[in-house]
Amino acid sequence: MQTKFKEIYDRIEQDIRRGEYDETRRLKSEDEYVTLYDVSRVTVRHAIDQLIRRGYCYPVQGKGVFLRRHKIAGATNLENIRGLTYDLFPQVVTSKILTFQQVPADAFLADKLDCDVEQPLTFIERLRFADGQAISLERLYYNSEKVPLTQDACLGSIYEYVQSKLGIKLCFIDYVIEAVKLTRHEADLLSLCEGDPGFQFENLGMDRKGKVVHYGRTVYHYQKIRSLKMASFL
Amino acid sequence: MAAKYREVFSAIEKDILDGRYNGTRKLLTEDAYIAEYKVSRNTIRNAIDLLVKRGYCFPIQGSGVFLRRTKPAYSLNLENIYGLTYYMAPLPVTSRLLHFDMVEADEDLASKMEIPVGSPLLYVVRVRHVDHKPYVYEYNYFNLLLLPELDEETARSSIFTYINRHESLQISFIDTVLSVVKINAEEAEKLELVENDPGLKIEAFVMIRTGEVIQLSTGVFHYENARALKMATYI
Repeated sequence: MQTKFKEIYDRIEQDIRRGEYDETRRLKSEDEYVTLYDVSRVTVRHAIDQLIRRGYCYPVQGKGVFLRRHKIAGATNLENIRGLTYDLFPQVVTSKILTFQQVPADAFLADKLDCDVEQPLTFIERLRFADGQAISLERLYYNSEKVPLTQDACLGSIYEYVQSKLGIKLCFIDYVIEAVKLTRHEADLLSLCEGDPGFQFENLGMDRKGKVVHYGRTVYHYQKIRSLKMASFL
Repeated sequence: MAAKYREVFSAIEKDILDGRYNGTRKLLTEDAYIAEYKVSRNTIRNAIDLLVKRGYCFPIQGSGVFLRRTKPAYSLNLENIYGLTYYMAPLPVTSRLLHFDMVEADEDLASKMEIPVGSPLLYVVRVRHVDHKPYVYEYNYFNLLLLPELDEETARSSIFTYINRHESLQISFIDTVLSVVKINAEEAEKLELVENDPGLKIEAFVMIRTGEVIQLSTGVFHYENARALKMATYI
């Protein structure tokens, strides 16, 4: 039912990312999209609303919808979580699983994952590369009972696997973003030195009922990753 | 401008902080608040919207508005990075002015702020403390093309308040770029750290309704005392 709007959204978004509007810095009019895609005005409006919410553009009354200035290429977009594979395109993102094991929840993890202490968790540690260079180290914890994962599933996008194969709808992700000093272990894996800066995202994923799906910590290579946040003010 | 919804917001905020909802971890229904505060549904909705924006809670369709599990200490909400003083309350926020100068936009600034090279800018550098701990070393550039009537005295005493209060300068949105850097000797000294320690760098493009950049603010945040929060929603 919502697929039509999503399709229009995806097409305009792709055009923006490909630089289609770099000259004019503004979207076409609603009428033009209605004709171009042969859809209703409501559908077009809905798609444009979503593009505005996601920070791609902003409306100026009576003048049209203008593109935001910041290039999205090469940065992760905090408004639109689609994973590194998408954000870093056209770089090729690959993963190497370093650890895949069952661990009992300690008090800290039990609190984060909202489960009992000793609850079996699946712990995944994986290193991610862009065009062959290490860019991030991810550590993720899933409640093994609720989210049964296989090692193979962790080679690609885990989010996608959890959603499409396990039918668990991830709705919210909360991030705590920090600068940290790298441990020896992290530094070795990212080809940096112990004590060098790390760009850390602690994340908590929740389903639509607010139940925790995963808890994780990702440390990015500080020279290779930056993030954009596009905020709207009211 | 003590709008009604602000009062309701503050009352619910206080209840959250006092632990009134710790048992259920969710807010009351709109109806319950209407009865409690004797205000319109719209007012309640605006108040709850603001609580959501401030990161206290998140709505889940059909189930209610849930409290966030943890709000780490000294954290900055990326939905609302303007107005540190207000956001950190009741913790005290103080600022110490380090530089105050009129400068001309060089190529880098001109391109970032989308103004001609040589445009007049007000350059303000300050270090800010939250709860008496060094929090951020902040570089600000104000676009004087958009502030032609600003006199030096006002600028010196309250440039930030001036912009906040000025009708036609209504800030509409802020885009931010986050990264991590090694801090330099000057930043380290003021943040009470060591040169080359990590710093969380947040570059904020503050824009008015027309999309023009009125202020470019680059903060280098203390890596132990500050952190940023982002609440994301999946489609």
